[in-house]
Amino acid sequence: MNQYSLKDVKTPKILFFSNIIILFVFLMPIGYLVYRFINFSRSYTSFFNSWNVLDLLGNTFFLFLTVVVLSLIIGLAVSIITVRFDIYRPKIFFTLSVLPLVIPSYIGALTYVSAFSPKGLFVQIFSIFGVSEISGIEGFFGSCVVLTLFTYPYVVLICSSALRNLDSTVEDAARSLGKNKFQIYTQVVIPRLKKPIIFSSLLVGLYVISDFGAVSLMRYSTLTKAIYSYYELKIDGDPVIFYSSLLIVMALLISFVQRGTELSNSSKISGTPRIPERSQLRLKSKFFVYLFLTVVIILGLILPISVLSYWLVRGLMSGNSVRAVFGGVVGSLSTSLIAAIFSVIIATPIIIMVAQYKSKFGNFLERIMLALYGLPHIAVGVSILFITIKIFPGIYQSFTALIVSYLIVFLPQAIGAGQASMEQVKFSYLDASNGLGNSKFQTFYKITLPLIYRGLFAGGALVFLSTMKELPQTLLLRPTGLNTMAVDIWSYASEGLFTQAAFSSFILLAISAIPTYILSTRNLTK
Amino acid sequence: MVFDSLILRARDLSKSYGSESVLTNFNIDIWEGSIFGILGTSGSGKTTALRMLAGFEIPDSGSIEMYDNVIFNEEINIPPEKRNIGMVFQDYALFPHLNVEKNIAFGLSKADQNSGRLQEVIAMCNLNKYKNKIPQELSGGQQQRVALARALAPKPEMILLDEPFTSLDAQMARVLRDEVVSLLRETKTTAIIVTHDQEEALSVCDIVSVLENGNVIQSATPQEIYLNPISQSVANSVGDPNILKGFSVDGRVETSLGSFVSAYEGALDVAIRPECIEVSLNSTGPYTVKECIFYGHDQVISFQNNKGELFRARSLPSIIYEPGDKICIEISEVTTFPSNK
Repeated sequence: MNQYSLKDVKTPKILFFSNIIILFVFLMPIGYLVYRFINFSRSYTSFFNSWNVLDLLGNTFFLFLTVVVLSLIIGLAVSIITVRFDIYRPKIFFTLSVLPLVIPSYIGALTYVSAFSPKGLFVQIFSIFGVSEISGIEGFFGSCVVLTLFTYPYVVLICSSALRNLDSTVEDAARSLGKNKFQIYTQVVIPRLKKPIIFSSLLVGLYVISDFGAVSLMRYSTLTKAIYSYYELKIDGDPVIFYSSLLIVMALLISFVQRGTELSNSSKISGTPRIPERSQLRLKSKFFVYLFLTVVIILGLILPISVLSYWLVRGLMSGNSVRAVFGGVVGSLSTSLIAAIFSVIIATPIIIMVAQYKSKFGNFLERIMLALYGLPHIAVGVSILFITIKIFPGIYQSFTALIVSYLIVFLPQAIGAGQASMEQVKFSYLDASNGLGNSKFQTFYKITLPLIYRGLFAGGALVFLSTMKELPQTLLLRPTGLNTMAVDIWSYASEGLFTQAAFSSFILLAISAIPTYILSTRNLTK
Repeated sequence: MVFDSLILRARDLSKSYGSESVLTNFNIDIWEGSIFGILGTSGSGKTTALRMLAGFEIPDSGSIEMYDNVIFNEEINIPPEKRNIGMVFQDYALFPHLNVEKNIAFGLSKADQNSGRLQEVIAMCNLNKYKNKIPQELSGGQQQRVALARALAPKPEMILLDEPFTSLDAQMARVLRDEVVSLLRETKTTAIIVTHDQEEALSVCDIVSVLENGNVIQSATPQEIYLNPISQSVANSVGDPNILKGFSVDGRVETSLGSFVSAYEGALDVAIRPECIEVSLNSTGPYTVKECIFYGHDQVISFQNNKGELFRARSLPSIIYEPGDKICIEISEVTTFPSNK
């Protein structure tokens, strides 16, 4: 932590005004939704009567609850097994079990829909055993399976790192007080993981209510799917605005609760944590542990990859022309790159302001940015869409509007990464630089920037990755003629053109593997 | 104090991590109702020894018996939760997610919690005021009390304390030490205290084992250890003696500070504790004061002989010694043991 704050130093005007503008742009989508919400021409009860709002809310909430619980169970089990039990190559099992994180939910859903369609891959393979037709996987069940498989890694990442840092002396204490190994987990370990558990389940929850791709392909009616359906019908904007507002309220509620459970190590009292020896497993439990890990990894990673490979190979062999995906690749790369660059440019003054000038405005800015993290893309997209139609028709369906929309959703990622690296910049460095005759700008250029550029770069890489996978905003806002890989995959998959969808999915996964690998192997914030 | 029945007997416990041996042939006998000290520097294996007795670590060989029941040998390993041995950890290891009362109740059955045992322990350890606090809100001394109360609550056969007072400041450590000892004595609880603090071991324990590099080098009463250490390293571990080299012929040894009776023949070390050297000012004395460090309750005088060899003496603080003062000395007690080399 910095030892003292520069309370007395006035925020430079440039910084102040540029941040005011940024703040204005960022609050615009919510502001516009609120404005429309207040000025609806019909009564609110009519919304509840005319559209199946309660059904949609119920569906969304039920999915939220089920996926959170399932992810938590799987994620905790995987964390405990890979961190605490004596299994073969725990690191490999750990890595394989978090890898599904890189698969966007719509690609995951695509593989499941195609594999388990009534006459799909599964039936073809098992036809030799007499399986002729299955009922297919869709709706609530399908959405649950897919969303759980691609969100439980969040729980694994967060809970396993917390578990690794738990001082096991406390568990020894519990054992000396007569508790057996099982009771240790229920009475000591899991209660101590309360914060990471709540934190990760809310992260999963945000993902679930915001998800558009998986529920659409699974044909399960949630708020996000309803928003897009009404948008496509183009009858009028009211229901789209109404549902988007509901969705944003839900998301803000979730992030609000999540902020309350800030993750910290305050429960650690002193000293370095004692790392427990990995528990030996009896033969029977060993069998179940490996079976469990294998099933999870097959369902979350091997099945999707194999299905994609199958479609790809079959498509290529049968001479089924894999349509040009070139346009999608160019579209994805250019939008992602531009979003990444702008996110870094915009994040920098915010990071500087929050860290180096502790003003009320700076704190307010930080809070807003934190609150905006995890806003459902589709709701932001809808708001930007209507703003461009009604207020700025000049940029309707323009590249600018699309990038602004991306930035509103993804900027918090760039800010987060930058802030982490900002901790190295001590106030004394700035004082020293000023004392040696450098101006504020020279100090920024010579001291702050060299120390934080890696963090900024990491933030940019994160935004690049997220933008490349983004689907609903792109669908709503893309200029005519602009395609991205995500849009390609989604439209091919909706039409049942699995070969083409698989081809684009492969390229998308391959391209995103590079920045993901760099981010995961190097600690770019230090 | 007289103790008449053995509660725990450990024989030939050994443990190594890879090629590094932490403990070799560790033997102890613990008498019921006694307070037993294991004294050693960090890395001497004392914490490993304690963790083995508690069952957290599995010895490579050896056996442990409690009241003639084997709790560990080659075939049997009773898990820690069934040994009925309480433990107080160096950093207390209080459960951060439970308040003080629930921490103390953790090892008690529902029936015991309601029988009044819980409140009894809380009262015994003066923790009534802090019942509803969470551990992080307490000072080090209070946390220590909670840790002790938690360990005592299920009435264990014995209680192990791992460096119980090192995390506290010196004054608090002394106050709490007295409290803990009187509590252990009152409840007639057998205890093993692991410590690196010689004063703590000598003042608190009935019997002390000195551990070095994984070996017990002497087990005896504090007086015996202090007055008759069996080796230079034991002498060093309790107190800070002057060590003089000498060679004994016919039961007498000549050293730079005079000639003494010796129990051994040949090359040997003579240990003279600073407090066994009495100093007096004398303008014709053979020694010269080099430095004097004043501690309040006493002072340590460094002096040298005409060959320039340095020695230390401890004296009451009443007389002031200045560097360069000439002094005479009188030696009241020496210990001899065979030379290391």
